Amino acid sequence: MAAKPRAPLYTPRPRFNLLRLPVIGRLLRWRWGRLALQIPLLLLALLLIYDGFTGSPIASRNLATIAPWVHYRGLVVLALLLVGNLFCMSCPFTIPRTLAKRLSLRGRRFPRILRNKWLAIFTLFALFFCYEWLDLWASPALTAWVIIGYFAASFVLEAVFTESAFCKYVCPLGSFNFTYSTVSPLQIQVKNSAVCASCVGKECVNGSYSPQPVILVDEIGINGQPVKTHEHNPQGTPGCGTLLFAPQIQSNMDCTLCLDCARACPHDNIGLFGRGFGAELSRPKLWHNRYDISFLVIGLAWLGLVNAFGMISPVYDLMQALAATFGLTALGLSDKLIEGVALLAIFIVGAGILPLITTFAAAALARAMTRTAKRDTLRIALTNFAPIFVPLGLGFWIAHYGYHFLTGLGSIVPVFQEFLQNHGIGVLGEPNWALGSAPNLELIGAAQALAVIIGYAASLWLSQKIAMRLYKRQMLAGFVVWALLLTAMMLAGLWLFSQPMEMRGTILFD
Amino acid sequence: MTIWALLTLVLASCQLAAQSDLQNTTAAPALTARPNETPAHDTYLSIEVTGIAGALPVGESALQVTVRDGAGLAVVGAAVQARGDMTHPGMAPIFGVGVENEPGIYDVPLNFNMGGDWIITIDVTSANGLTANQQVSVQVQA
Repeated sequence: MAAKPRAPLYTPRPRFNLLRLPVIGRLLRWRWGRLALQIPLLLLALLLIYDGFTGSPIASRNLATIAPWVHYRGLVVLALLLVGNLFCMSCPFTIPRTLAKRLSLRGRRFPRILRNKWLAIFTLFALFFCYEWLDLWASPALTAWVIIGYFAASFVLEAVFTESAFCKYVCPLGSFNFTYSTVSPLQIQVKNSAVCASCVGKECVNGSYSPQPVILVDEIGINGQPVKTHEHNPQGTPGCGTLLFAPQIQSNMDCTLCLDCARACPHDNIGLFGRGFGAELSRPKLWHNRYDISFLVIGLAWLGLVNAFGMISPVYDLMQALAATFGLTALGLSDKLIEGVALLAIFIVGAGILPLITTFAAAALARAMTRTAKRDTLRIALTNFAPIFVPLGLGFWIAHYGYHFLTGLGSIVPVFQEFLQNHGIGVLGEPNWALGSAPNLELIGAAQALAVIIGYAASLWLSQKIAMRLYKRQMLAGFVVWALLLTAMMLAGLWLFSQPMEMRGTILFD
Repeated sequence: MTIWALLTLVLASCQLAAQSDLQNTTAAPALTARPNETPAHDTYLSIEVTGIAGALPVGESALQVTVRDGAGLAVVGAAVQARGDMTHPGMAPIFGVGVENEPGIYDVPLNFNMGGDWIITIDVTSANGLTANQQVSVQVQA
């Protein structure tokens, strides 16, 4: 009687790998897969620039303002939550960047002092400030200039520096996407880390010698001489632009999902694997206790509040009060200039001073209450809890961008119809402006509140997990401090989103 | 002090860019004349919009549109239509049709459904086929 084969003691559950899906996986792994996603967005960007300069100056009748400020932002936050960093994957700004990379002959690296997130924090702050002050949302021409600025900055930085400095250190959109892709359910991972340990070329980060994802060996002829050799050439796949080494990736931070690593790997050892929502956020030493990444994450959550505050009525009263208090009106400055100074003060306090003070205070208080002041530095106490601001921050942005997306969802149809009509193309008929009608605002309001509350609940869950890891039996004392801060921010968010929106661009000072 | 001076300088330079765009959005009245003709008194219309001083409340409001010809005479029986767009993209436009209450003076009801900045585009077509349009900015307070 034959022995019954024994089942293995443990078989790891096969993980979901997007790159193994029949059609999508093949498309994504294809050599031109990224370009195929980028070209439609490049054409769209060119269309927006064209319409921004030649179309109606009224924002709600121009594609340049509707597509980026209403649809793009709404789709981005949803994609980040449900899939991953899809925008960076198909980013059109990196097409000329790739050309620049070929022309640059591999120049110098980005200055060491700037190889962090402080510059990205500044560009994010500057973008949101200009958005509010210059009413970018109300100006098709300025929006077109912003798009051109992105192309130019990406091209110049790539031409001058070797790595993808624009994506990793400068781009405000990328920094936003990096931050919130940390909750995404997909992440680049290796199938077997032992393969990476013995890999000679490390093609995932260095780039491959050929377009094929296989190991190519020189063919040796019968006389011992090679009859065919393989050399590095332009057909090779570049390695990771942001210099991430696949087997060491623990976070989606800095991953543009370009999938160059997966294409370059000669061992077919890299996949885009499924994971739990925000799974990385509770990992210890996630961002190596770095202040720059921590304040990018914390600052973005506060910027979510400040950005929404700029769209409701009380901000105008506050700006009036600031102008009067500081005597700005008496200086004879124009209203726009006074608005700029008042708004800058609000941004500096709301997205700069308040996040700094509250998080340092919370970290110091938690250290004192858990009696870990001698064991942990203030940096450790603060940076360990930085990830708790991701879910709540994402809740704020979903509430804000989701509002514009849902209220303006159909508005792009009549605007596109009008665009075609103005260019003598009548295939879509007369613009149907009824499609732009706002749906049920009460329902949208409830969805906004839900987004904030779910984000808050996830942040609370995360903070108790981190407190448990960091403070063990003293966890309650540490948790309460951060929970109070989260609660205050959540309540501020609920109040902000319960206010009637005021889409105002001009303010007249008394 | 130096920081404030630099800050003011930077803000002022940025403001120039914003102003140039604002000038585009507040377009002057567009006059329509017959092709290859210099507009004469009887070939163009002038539009004056009143009732928009200060901030308007959210809800129903009526603008008064006065239509005159080149000689300054009231234009009766014209078709007056108004369209309101928010400066923020994605918001639905509102529409209103003028009713002539006095000769040459038309009341145009508009239902402002949200506070903020609105751009009202007035289109006028006179009984003899002349057309004119004008854009005005309106502030609406919630």
